[in-house]
Amino acid sequence: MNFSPEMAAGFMTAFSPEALLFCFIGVALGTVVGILPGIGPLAAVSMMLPTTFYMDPTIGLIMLAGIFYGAQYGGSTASILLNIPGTASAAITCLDGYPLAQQGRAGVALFVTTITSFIGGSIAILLLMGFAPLVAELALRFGAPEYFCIMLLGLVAASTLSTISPLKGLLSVAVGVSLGLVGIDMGSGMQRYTFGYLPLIDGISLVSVAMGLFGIAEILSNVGQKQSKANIITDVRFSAMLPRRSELGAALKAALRGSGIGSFVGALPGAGPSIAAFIAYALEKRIAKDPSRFGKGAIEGISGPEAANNASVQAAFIPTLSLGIPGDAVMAVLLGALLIHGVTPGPQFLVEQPTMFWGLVASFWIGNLFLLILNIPLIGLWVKVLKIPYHILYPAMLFFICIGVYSVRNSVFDIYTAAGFGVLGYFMLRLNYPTAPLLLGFILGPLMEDHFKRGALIAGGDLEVFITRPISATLLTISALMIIVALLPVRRWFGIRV
Amino acid sequence: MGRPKSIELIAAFCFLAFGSFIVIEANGYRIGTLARMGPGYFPLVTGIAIAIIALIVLVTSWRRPETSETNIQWHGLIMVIIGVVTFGFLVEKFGFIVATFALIVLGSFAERSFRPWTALISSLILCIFGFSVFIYGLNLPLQLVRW
Repeated sequence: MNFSPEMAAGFMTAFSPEALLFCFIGVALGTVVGILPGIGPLAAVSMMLPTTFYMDPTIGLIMLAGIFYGAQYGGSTASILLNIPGTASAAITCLDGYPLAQQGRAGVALFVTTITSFIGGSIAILLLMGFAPLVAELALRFGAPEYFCIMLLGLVAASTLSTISPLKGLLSVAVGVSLGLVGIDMGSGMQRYTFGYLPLIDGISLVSVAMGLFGIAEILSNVGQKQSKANIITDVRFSAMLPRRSELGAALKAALRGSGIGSFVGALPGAGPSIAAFIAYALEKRIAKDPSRFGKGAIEGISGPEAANNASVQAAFIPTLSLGIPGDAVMAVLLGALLIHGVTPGPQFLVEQPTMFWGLVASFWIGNLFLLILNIPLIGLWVKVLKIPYHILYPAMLFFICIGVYSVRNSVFDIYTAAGFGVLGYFMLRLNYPTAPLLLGFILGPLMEDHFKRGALIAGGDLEVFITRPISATLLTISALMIIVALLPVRRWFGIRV
Repeated sequence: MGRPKSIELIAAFCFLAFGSFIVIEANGYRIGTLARMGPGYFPLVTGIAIAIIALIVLVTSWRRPETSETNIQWHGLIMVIIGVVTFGFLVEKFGFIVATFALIVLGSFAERSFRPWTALISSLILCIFGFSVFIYGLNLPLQLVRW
């Protein structure tokens, strides 16, 4: 890693008052969103997306990223105190976190999860700093065929890896791609699927899709449910926060293991913090001397997963920034945000906008430090947040969604579109169709078409180029293997002996 | 093997219909060849993929019913969507204050415990907040009130 003037410039940007302010806003918002069950970082990032359009792109990105990794700190709070996860990735933390709270050791649990979250995040940031430039350099050798293939791999991975039904995941991706094609085709200038309808000429708004599919759909899933008033454990005293010495060692080791797992998993497209946390928990349980402790308040059961989920969200920036391949729905929204600002993530990004990249990385350090401060002394504040009733919260969310969607293009049509996607997202959630692949397909689909056409054009119509170039061929093979492996059980599904 | 859930089948069928629609429309654009794609090629392939996968899902759902939540909260769904659509309808005709009130009030109906005062106060606070942050602070072009 060369310490370049760009790096220094980037770090300076991150320390500017504006950047510090929005970094703080981002992580604080992320923490709140993470704590509250029913709103996730994806919905929050989507909602704040329009507000970044009027800001400097680096600052906007710093804030949105802050929401994302900040939420991983807050998520465990509800898990520990309420036995309800604030974010999906914090679900594992319920298993050993809540029992700890029941034993009167909520303070210890909260303290440990915060520290291990910080460790996880920090290690991943170091890896980001080291690897992203390397990956970007490798990827500079990418031509259009390689871009096509890696985007294809990203989509295949996202739709088959983390879902219950890979088949539905693939369907979701394909639908997303088709929706992304609405609008003017760059190559020919022809309008596709617009039916002469003016608002559709520029295509469907990304913000409408994201907010509808994730924000509105989530609200639709949550309203009307009977809110069970679970016992909130509110007795959290600062003095009772430090763990026992014996536990400290175990917790730290688990955190290191979790960080490693999280960093690796996070860098993969399609695998996110939830998977990272799950794998970390499974690992801890397997290597523990006394696995029966798990589920009753084993400190490794919360420190490993929490380190893993924080590491994974920081590591997810590696493929997103250096390759332009978002590994996660939130990353996809961030990618969309960058594209709207006119910045194209990918290997060129590190070369053309090093200040933005290093500014972002620096902001990660700053943000994680802010979060450390926010989560330890201010923990009492967040506990109060948990008491806001949902029926006040969700109309406010709807308000932000509507304003946000409208403000992008001053278009009422976009509001209706968001509503439509909200309904779609709701039914998809109910029927186990994964929604993130749809967004990924929506963003990457048109880009893939572009790269494919360009690859074919440059090769003079000789399509072998996709198979003869080594990187291309490898990526295609991996994609094919992934599909095959994911769909192997299909024969069983058909109930036919094939 | 239990009965397949009808909503699963309907959904798969809808996707199949959607895919077919994409394919039909795509044929209206120039297709070209794989090496020289016209505007219709990619949509055509995508539409075919959607249709095929939807068909497989349809068949597998039929033969092996999946367990999914079929408890659809229609009441909440309808109220929230009506709220959002009303906002869209009102915001350019009457400005965003009216639209916000409509959104909050209608949206609050989705929860059984509807409290009119809470809804009105929330609307007021959100309008003030929205005005200061979005219009004043971020200079978003939003109309407060329109006659």
